[in-house]
Amino acid sequence: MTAVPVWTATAAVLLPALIGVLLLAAPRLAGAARLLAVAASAGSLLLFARMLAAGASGVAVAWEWAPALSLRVAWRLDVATLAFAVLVAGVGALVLHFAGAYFGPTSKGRKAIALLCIFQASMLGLVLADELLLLFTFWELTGLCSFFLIITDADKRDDTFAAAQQALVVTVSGALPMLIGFIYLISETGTGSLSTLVSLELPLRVQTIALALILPGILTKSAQLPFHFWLPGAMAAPTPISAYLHSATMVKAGLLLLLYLFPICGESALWSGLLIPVGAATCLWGSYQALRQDDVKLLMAWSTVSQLGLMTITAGLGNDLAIRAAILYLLAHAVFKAGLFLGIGAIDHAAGTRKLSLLGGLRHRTPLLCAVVAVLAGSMAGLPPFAGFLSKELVLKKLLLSDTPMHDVAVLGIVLGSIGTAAYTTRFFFGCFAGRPRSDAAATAQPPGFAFLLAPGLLAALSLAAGLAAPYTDRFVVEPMTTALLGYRLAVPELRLWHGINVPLILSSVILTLGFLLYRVSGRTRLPGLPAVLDGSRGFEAVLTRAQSIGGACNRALAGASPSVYIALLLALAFAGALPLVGRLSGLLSLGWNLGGTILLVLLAFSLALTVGLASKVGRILALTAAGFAVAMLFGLLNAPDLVLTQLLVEVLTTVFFLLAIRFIGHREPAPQATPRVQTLRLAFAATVGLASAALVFALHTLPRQTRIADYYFEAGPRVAKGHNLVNLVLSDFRGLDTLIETLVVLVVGLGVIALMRGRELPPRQSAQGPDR
Amino acid sequence: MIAPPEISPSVLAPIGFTAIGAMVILVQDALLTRGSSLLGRRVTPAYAGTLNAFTAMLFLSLALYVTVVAFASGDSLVFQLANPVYQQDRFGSFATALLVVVGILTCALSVSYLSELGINHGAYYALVLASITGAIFLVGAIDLLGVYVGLELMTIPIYVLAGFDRARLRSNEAAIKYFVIGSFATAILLYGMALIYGATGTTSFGAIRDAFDPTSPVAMLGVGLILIGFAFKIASVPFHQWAPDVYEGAPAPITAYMSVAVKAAAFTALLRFVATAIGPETEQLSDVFAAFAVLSMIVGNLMAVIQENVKRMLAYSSIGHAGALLIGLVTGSPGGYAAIAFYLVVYAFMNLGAFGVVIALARRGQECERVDDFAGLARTRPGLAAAMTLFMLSLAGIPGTAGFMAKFNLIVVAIRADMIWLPITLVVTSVISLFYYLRIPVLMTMREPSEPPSRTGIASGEALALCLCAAVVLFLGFFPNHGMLPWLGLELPVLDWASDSVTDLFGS
Repeated sequence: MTAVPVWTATAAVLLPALIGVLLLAAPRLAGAARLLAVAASAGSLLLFARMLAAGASGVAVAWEWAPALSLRVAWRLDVATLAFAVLVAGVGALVLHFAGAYFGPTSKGRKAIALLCIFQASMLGLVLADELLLLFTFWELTGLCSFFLIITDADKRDDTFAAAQQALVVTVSGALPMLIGFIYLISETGTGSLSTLVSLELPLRVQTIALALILPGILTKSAQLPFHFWLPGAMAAPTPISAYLHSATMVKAGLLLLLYLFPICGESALWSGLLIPVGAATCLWGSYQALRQDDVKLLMAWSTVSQLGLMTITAGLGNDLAIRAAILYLLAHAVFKAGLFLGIGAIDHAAGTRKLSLLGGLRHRTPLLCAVVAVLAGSMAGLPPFAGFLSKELVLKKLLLSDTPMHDVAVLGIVLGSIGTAAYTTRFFFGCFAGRPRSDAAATAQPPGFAFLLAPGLLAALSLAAGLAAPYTDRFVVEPMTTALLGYRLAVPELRLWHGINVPLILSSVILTLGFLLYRVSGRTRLPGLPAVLDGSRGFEAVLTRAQSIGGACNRALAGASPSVYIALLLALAFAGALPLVGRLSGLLSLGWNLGGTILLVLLAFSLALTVGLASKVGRILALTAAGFAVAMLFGLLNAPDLVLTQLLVEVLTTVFFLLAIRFIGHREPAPQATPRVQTLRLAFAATVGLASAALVFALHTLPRQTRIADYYFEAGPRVAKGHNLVNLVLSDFRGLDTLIETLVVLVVGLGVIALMRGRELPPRQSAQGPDR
Repeated sequence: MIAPPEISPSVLAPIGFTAIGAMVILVQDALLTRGSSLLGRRVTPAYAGTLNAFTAMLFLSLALYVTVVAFASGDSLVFQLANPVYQQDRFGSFATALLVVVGILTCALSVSYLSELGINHGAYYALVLASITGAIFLVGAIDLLGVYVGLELMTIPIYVLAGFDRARLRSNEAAIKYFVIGSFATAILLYGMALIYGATGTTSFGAIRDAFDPTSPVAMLGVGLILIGFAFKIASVPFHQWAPDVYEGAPAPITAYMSVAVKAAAFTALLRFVATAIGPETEQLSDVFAAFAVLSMIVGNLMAVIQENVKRMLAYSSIGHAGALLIGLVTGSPGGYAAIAFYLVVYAFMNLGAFGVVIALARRGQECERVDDFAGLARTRPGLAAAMTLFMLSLAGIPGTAGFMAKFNLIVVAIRADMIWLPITLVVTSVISLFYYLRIPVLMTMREPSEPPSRTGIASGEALALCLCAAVVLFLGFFPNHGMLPWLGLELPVLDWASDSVTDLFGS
């Protein structure tokens, strides 16, 4: 084994990100943006290719990020991951080249190219990450880049923000359960390293739980039903961005993770049980929608949805042969779909429209573009001799061999999906290039320049070459990648373009024929749309609106309420626990009574009633003072003269402060009286809380004594503090520090009162004197 | 004969510096503004305000220095008169250092804001320092009465500060609401303390732990009432209603201080109380905390989505974060407590940063607090827009920022404690939070500015504070722990500090 090239790998990942940040920070570089970006992508492509050629493999730990959180930056280098990285960087270089021509040297173009570079780095990181949590970090970064890239055209279109938000929220909501799944895997196995996890035999239960948590992330990212709706919405982004993020790379991240996870969680029944039906539904729905669209870009978006479904079914078949087929399909799709999107960008540029109803007859105006798109479309439809044909053959072959319980569903999904693919591909190609121009724009289309043809042309050439040289594609790409991913070598016959006449070939021809027929039939009828109920996008909007209205209702109910509502709530929650004790108050009756105490209690009750009932503020304050005096007398009856003194002092001081405050605030009118109903409610509430707290106090006094706190002070007071007034001793001696700080509190209160009151003598703001005072 | 009480002055040094600082500022302000003849020249209020702020920061820096020294020594010192009242240990010092730094940043952010709003009074800084004094006393208190006194001293200056913008009706309303409701909450807390005293015969944490009987209804009722008091301070649902009104009405630096320092101090005191006086593994407590956590996360985040006022939005977001923090308490494990301590640090910087941007945008006599005020900011104030984006991403918990590390750490701890619903709630509500956190960056980059910015410069204090916050948010996002920057010779293992400090509570 060769040494693991840690720094080469890190540099290759970081290079596009650095250029991206540079471009973001330096507006002056707008002119050189394309050059720099393509150079960065090409540089990282070369680095990866070199590592691939040198046979680098192993785990490269670049940096122990946070060992306490089992988080480190480690790259998993083997043939499979490096090949994916080459794909990402290669398609990236072509797309960036195209984007330079598409945007021109504008500020918007500079930003888009910079973000594309940063996205590319995140995607490379995602592909190469060995640590689950690192993978998650890059996963989120790609989503965030996608968000900012979708809103590139925000100045031209109004729907971009909603689309971008939808895409972000859907994928992030899926990713967060995935994070929990990752953490679960880590806490179960003690490692988050993919390369280590592959070699472990996990219990079936762990596999299933982990998979159940991780699948939402995969399904949302790869736009599977019922989360697919964000992908057509994301087409609000400019075409090069759609080509790179929303067809070639980011939406594949889910499938990529599936491939990585297969050796770890592949034995769970959930694997094929969930993936096949979901994939089949996605595939069929995507094909159907693609047959309805007028905008070719939307057609292509739905075709991506359908083909992502196809790949999910393939991966869901859950055997090693199917994984091999999925790898091939993933590579082939990335190449032809990126090419097709760029081709659409070129068509748009040439004819000024993307509507099938306005296009047509472009083969005469733009013959070169027509040839390029023909190759790419052929690959998508699965025609020989293109790469798409190879992958479709392989999928069909594996399908016939598989034996999962979901077999029938898988067959149905793949066969019908392929028929649909053939049909909408024909529709797209014929609609654009065949027949007569259906508008002036199409009739006067200008052939796109070299810059618009280079990237799609190269991708088309790659599609063709990979198909023609099938055995080499297999020997140097597919077979080593499968071996690397699975961890063992598959004994299978080599891939060839021509295997003789066999079942897959016949099936393939039938599919193509039926697809063409479907195209002819569907062209004549108007396909109905979906009832609004089932539209995921509207469902998303509905959830959003509902959440907002619930929040709004809560807000109206609570916000701006008067403090008394809050206080009532506070008291209710605090004393709810004491309500059961109210029954114990009957114990009061069995106690003896004395005359003095009764008189004082009546006095107390009377004073309190006055406090509530009197209209004048001063009267209320005096009534409250009277109540305080009554309490002091009660203390006197209980033989506690020191308490009496303290209480009297506090009462007098409080009254003085109150009266002073009244002098400042003035005798304002009291707040408007509440309605009788509210008054009754308040009375009932006050009575309940009062009873509950009384019951609590009584219950506390009738409990068996556990400790005699007073005894300690009686004993320790004279001994330790040399005094006899226990209240004084506790305040000034036993609790000296608390009293000291409490004094500080009082000081601060005074300060606050002064600060607040001082303003009353001055007009609110004297602007003539400047901002101050 | 009894031995004289053991008084080691160094224990009280941080409190001493802040308390003395408060008094020095009062005198200094009086000298500067009233006794200008003494100085021989007239002092403008702006100049006096700056000088007062510098004095405040000087004393806070001294407090920070002694706190760091105390933390480094790792000693656990107790201050006692007749009873042990206050303890200086690594946990307390960790929290104290955070509080003091928050205080410094608050002062730095206040200087030009107060001038802009025309409320530049010396008492402001004195009150901030008094509040910090209370907060420090609170986090070190090992006695119920100490907790009460610390809490009061921390809160009462804020009642005043919330209403400091006297000319504005909403500021007055905020102060009155906070004062009235806060007094009730404090009274309930005090009642709870009395019940515990009745049940156990002591107010000292250690002694309560020995005498505590979880089956006694009186003791549990007391604990319940105390928890209500704390839940009020940390603004956890269902005791949160005051927060949006008060956060919206109070001057922005005070809102920032409240949302960060009060929360941090109350949380650390709660941690100490639960860990050393009750026992962290008490099951009934965990259930209560779990309910608080779930409710806070859901209500806070749902309500934040619909807010049109940034300060109000951040208030609900802070309720949501309080819910997340409570998850650590539910675990009852040292790991959970350490996660809270780390989260508090992260939250302090990212939230102060977000408020800092709001503060820096305040115009003459008017705050920039509507969400729409942020439209087009990327064009007019690119630096502030970039900072705001960073803080919003961090609050939302996007990887690469400190906010992610904090949330992530919490989720890890929760899953290790075999909890699944709390982390899932956290995750789901985090998605909801994306709606309102991302709205601001989008508005800043995509919309045209509604009106030309009336304030183009940025005061140096604000710039420094924002830079520090941004740097910390990024630093902790990439280097939550040590071993990160060996080539700089710089070691700032914040996560380790948090874990170390927590061990003091669990008596290892």
